[in-house]
Parts: sequence; C-alpha cells; structure tokens
Amino acid sequence: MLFGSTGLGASTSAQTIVSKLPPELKGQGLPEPDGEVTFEEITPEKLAEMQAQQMAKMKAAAELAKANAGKFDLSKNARYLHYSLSGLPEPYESLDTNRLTLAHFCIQSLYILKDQRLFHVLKGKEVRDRMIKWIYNLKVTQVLDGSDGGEPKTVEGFVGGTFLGNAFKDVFQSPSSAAPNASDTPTSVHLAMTYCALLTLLTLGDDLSHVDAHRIMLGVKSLQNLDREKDGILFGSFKSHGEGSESDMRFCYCALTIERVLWKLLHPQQPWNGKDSTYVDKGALLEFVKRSKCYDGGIALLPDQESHGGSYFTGLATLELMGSVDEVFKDRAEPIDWGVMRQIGGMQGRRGKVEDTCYSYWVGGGLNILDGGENLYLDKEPLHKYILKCQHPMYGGFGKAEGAPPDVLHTFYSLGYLSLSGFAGEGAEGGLGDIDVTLGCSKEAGDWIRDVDKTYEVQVKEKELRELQALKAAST
Amino acid sequence: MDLPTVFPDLTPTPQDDGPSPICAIQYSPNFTEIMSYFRTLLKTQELSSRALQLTALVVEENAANYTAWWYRRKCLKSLNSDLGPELIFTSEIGGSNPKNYQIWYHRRALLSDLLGGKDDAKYELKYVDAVLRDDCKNYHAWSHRQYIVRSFGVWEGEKEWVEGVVGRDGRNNSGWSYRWFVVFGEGGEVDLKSEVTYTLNQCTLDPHNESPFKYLTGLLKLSSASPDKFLNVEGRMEECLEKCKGWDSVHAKCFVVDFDEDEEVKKRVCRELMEEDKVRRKYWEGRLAKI
Repeated sequence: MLFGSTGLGASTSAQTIVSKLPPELKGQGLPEPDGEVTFEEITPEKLAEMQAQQMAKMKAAAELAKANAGKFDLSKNARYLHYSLSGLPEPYESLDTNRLTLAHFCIQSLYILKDQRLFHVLKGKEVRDRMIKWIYNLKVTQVLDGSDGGEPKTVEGFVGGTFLGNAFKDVFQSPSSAAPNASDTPTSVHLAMTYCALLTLLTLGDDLSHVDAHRIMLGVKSLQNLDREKDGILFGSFKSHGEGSESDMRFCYCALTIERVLWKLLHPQQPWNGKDSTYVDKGALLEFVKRSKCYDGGIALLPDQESHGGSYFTGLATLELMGSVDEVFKDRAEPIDWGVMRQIGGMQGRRGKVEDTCYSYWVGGGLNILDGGENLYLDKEPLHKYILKCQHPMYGGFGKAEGAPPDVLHTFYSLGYLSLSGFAGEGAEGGLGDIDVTLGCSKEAGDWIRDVDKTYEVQVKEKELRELQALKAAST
Repeated sequence: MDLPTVFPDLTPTPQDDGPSPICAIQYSPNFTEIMSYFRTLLKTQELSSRALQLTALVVEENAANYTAWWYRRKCLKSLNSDLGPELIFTSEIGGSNPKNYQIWYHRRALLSDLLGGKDDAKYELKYVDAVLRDDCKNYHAWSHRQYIVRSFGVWEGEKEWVEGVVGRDGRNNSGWSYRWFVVFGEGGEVDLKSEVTYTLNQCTLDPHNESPFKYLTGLLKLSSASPDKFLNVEGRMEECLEKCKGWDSVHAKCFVVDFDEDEEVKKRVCRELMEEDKVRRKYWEGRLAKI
C-alpha cells in the first residue's frame, strides 16, 4: 500500500526507459510515445529529487503513524472490523470451521465501539437481519441413536461455518423444522460455536425465537463426561463436539453459559439458581473445576496441569455462574494473587511468559469476577498503554504484541478489557460500550439473559423503558 | 493428487454460503477444490483408501478441521489400516502445527489402540521430549506427557527428568507445575522435607524467580492443611522465612507477607512492596489494609 503511491509509477519508468533508449533500438517493439506527447528528460538530478520527495512522503506517513501510535483510534478499529466481517484473507483458512467465533469477535467488538453502521436502531437493521439469517443457517440437528445408553433423541446446536456443504436455508422463510433436513450432512453440534451463535444473535437484537432451547440443552448434556470410571480426571468436564474431541475448561464454560442464556426460555418464571442439574450436572462440573485448581492459586485447563490465563477466566466464570467461587476458593486472596502477579505492564498468560493482549481480558476479567466488578487490583494505566501499543497504527485492530499483525480475536479481547476497565481516554472520550464480563458479550445481551432473575413487574417496566430508548435512538 | 482423476465418479459439492455471508474467507483455489470433494464424501460416507488420502489433503490445508480427522479415523477403522504409519503422519503434521488441539487428540486416539505397555509408553515420551526441545512450554505436550504417565503408570524417572528441565531453566514454570504432578500425582508417601529443601535451593539460585516461591508456598499451605498426611515440616517454616527476609525480591517479600506471624513485620514489608512493586501498588495497599 505504501509503495503503491510512490509516484515512481510504471508509466514514469517506461517513459524514462524509452527516452534513454539508444536511437537504433527505438521502434523495436517498444511502445513509441504519441507524437504530441513530449517527454521530460529524467536527469540523474531530477531522479534524485523525485526520490527525495518520495522519501519525504514515506517519512511523513511513518511519522504520522508514530505520532498517532498509542492513541485509541475508534474509526480505524471500526473500519478494520467491518472489513473483517466482509471478508478475511487466505491465512484464516485454518479457522474455516470456526467462522462463527470470528463473527462473534467482530460483532461484539463493534458493539463496544458503539458502531452506528451496525447498531443504529433503524439504519443498521437490514445488515443485522442479514447476519442473523446467516448465523441461523449454521443451526444443525443431530440424531443421537442412544448408543450411550440413553433414549434415541434429536438434539440441536450450531456448527462454525458452511464447510459441510449443506444448502443455505433461510429460517425466516421456512419454519424451524423438527427433523433434520434429509439432505444435510450428518454432523455434531459444537459447544463453542453454539455459545458464539447465541450470544451474537442476542447482540444483534434477535430474541432466539428460532432455537429449541430444550433440544440445545439435550445436545449440551450429551457432551458432558459423566462416567467416573472411564473418564478419570475428565469426569464432570465437557467435550466440544461428538466427533472425537478433547475436553477441558473452555467447553465447561461454554456449556454452562449456554444454559444460562437459555434459562429464560426454559423457565420463564424462575430466577437462575446455578444449581439445577436437569441438563448440566452441576455437582460433577463443580468437582472438575475444584480438581483443576492449582497449588499456586490459579486454574488449569485440566486437573494437574499448569495454571493458565484462559482457564483462569473460564474456570472463575463457571464458578461465578454456579455461585460457587467461595466454595472452591476459601480465600479469594489466592486466585487474586495469581491474577495480579500476571501483570508485567501488559498481562502474561502464564508465569514466565511474555505479554499478550488477550490475557488482559482473560486475567483482567477473572479478577473483575473476583472483586465484584470493582477493578481493584490491576494497574490500568500501563495495561491500557500496552494494549494501545498493540493497535495497528495504519489499519486499526489489535495484535497480540507490539508490531504483530492485527487479528479479530486479539481485537475483541483488547477492546473487552478497555471496556471493562472503563477506558475513556483520548479517542474514546465518550466511553466504550459496556460488556457483560462473565458471559463475554454485550451488556444488552447480558441484560436480556439476566432479565429472568427479576420480578415480572420490573421486567415489564424495563422493557417499556428499552422500547422508549430505542424510539429515541431511532429518531436521531 | 489430481482429484478429478481419482474421483471421476464424484461431483464436487460447492460451498453454499448464502446471499450475504459474514467473515467469508478468501480460500486458495486448491483449498476450495479439496474441500468440494471432501463435502461430497461426507454426504456419500464412502470409507475407502482414496477417501483416506483425501482427508490427508484436507488436514494438510487445515489441521483444525475436526470433521476431517473424525472421518479419517472412520476410514482407518473401516480399512483396518496399520496405525504405525498413521502415527508418523500425525507427527509430521504436528511438526508444523505444534499448538493444534485436533492433531494431539488424533494422536491420543491412535495411541489408545497402539500402546501395549510401559515400554511403548516410554517410547512415546521420547516424542514429547522432541516437541518440548523446540518449545519447552508447549501446553499440549505437557498435557500429553501427563496423559501417558498417568495412563500407563510410567512414573519412574519422571522426577529426575523434570529436575533436568528445571535445572536448565529454573523459570520454566511448566516444569515446576509438572514436578508437582509427579510428586503428588502417583499417590503414596511424599517426603515434604526434601521438597522444601530442593525448592529453597532453587529460590537461593534466583530469588527473583517467582516459580519456586509459589511452589514453596503451595507446599507449606498443603502441609498446614493436612499435617498428618505428610512428614513433619516443623522448623522449616522459620528457616524459609529467615531466608526470605534476606532477599531483596518481590517474591521473597510476598512469602513473608503470606506467612509471617508478626503483624508489624507484615505491614512493614507490605509498605516496602508498595514502593518497590509499583505495578501492584493497589494490590499491596489492599493487603496492608487487611492485616
């Protein structure tokens, strides 16, 4: 891009060459200039001058980027995210089965940026509806034959992309069918993709009216490891899908969050209590998280492994959703100590590793859960500074480290921490959009999910207020 | 592999992304062709050696395609294939994707059929060694090692092995975590005294290394939580505190704040930490307030 605008373009070079050709070679297959065009002889002095001008331009661009480096750039970040939503380059091929996570990162990030192109009540509706349709198209049904000892049943969930080769189906045109489409490739529901689908749909303003909550939870239930003898240390944890998958803390978090999201549809009159074991066996899950606690106050992906920032967040969020943080950590000082010690300036994910922007959210979010959202422990200033250093000065978006190319995962987790820590610095003076830290989505989606915990009267009042606000927003 | 020649009877299935896809990936033509044939196979469920070959192409393009690995295992089973070469194939793909979950899972699925006993298991540990030589903190490799050791009971020599790892780099926390696993994982009597001695030596070697200090903290908390289960570590606490007080290190001071019984000492050290460990100033302030 930088070199596309050098001014030493192809035509200039060609002219230079032609004008310098010895007379005997002129007209030998090389394009002769039209008679009317006169050519300026490019003398070595002229060339040097052009080159100097060019260098000055490049230097100015670099200096501008340098001057803006470390300053939050709302519009460049939004542009980067819209660009990613519209298409991603070839290196993303390795994420072909995970496109829903990429969409989740982009859409939640744009929410944090309060992006009006996507979230304006009226003007963004068409775009949002198109996205909602594409996501529902990834909904699959799976028939469990009962070989695990249970009854044969049909379950529901999402996969991460269109790689299976099913024909596009528009749920708004055809009613949610009870049986799987006969021409569909048999596949397994995927917990991480179902998690991303539900939260993204809610953030886009959908009300999940095209999912069957009971069937989704049957799919979730089928992925919990509940054979104490056979599953060993994995007892209580979740697989991500049924086609042969590892089990670990990530999918425990996804499974429980899915249940939290759907609770309102399953039990409209009942506040979430975190203990009901109709679908997710909470006792077994709690046991798994307990066993994944490390000697140093951190949490590992699996029992006996090393403490890790990712499992710190997913483990703590799982406990928070079950109301069991204090049952596992008799003294919150232990996990708090593990979390604060991860700050170098930016955050590291493990003891002795280098900084990486995504751990700002994993560790910062874990601590946020532990201190009830007060953000008491981390030193925000150097952490914000580190994150902003990782913002790409020309293209926007965030990379994992300074100078690393931006990607949508690190962009979401960087923005996520900036939001949860109340960043309102230069470039974001109005503050950022709020997120629901535990659930990992927009505050608005979080409010929809947590609505069921409130009394009916409060629900009605809040709904009226929201509608009023939407009307107001639509008129501006 | 020229796909139209190998699959003359199959019609490739194009990807149907609908009228307005999101996060569409700009696939290379090669990726698109391979996936189009793979999509057809998924529908026909053909389990053949040419299908097996095609899954190899799919995972070479995208090692995270879990459906392709699953389909591959179905082919292997149906063809009653020799799993030895498959393990080599897995190692080869794993070499360029050391952090890919699906490859490690595939390896484990193969091993559950392949490994006959402790000797085989020990041989597999050599593979883990090779991966750890390239990246001594690879989370998957450590996890795999634990799986092998736990499943086949090959605990013997593991403590000495990991002592070598930590000896080469005392700041490799994965090594410390693994040490905890081999010391406490097998069950049975643990000589907590010698653990304390080893760890304290490591603290002495590098008082600014957080890993041994947290290991020591873990040991002492464990022994105070279940005193009868382990050998007596009485007297060692005083020794640890004494040593920690001599070191001008955040981690040593943190140990003093954790364990010293004298509140005045704790407060003084907290105040020092507020000055010296500036990034955690608020944290130490909070600890001070709680004393």
